[in-house]
Amino acid sequence: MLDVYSKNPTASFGFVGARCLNEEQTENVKRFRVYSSLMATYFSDTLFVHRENRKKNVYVMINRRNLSDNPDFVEEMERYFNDHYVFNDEE
Amino acid sequence: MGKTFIKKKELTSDSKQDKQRDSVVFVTVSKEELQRRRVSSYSYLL
Repeated sequence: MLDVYSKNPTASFGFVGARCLNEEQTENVKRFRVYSSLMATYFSDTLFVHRENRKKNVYVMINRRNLSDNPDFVEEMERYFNDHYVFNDEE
Repeated sequence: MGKTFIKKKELTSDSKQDKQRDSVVFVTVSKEELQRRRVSSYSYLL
């Protein structure tokens, strides 16, 4: 992340916390909780807006420079997730 | 291996209907909640 940010100071980041194989709950899963804690520990809210969806285990850190240049960025990102991912789908 | 938890959707007319079922909405994590979650003995990287 630091490498990406050093090359692109307007970069935003995100992750989806996958459920462990033996984990029964599908919301706010362990991996999501651990990674969320890491994001809160290492990245302040000065440069990034931290947003999450615990039900879908999705976490994003939106670069505040993006928001100032594009106020609709959050909506665009949500639309992207809705268009490209199916969450917690079991086959 | 195992089950697929997240898969990439193909943009078909069916998936456009599905997206309403799996709608993702984000909420902002408050400053207070961020402070509660962080391990304070570590410094910010950014």
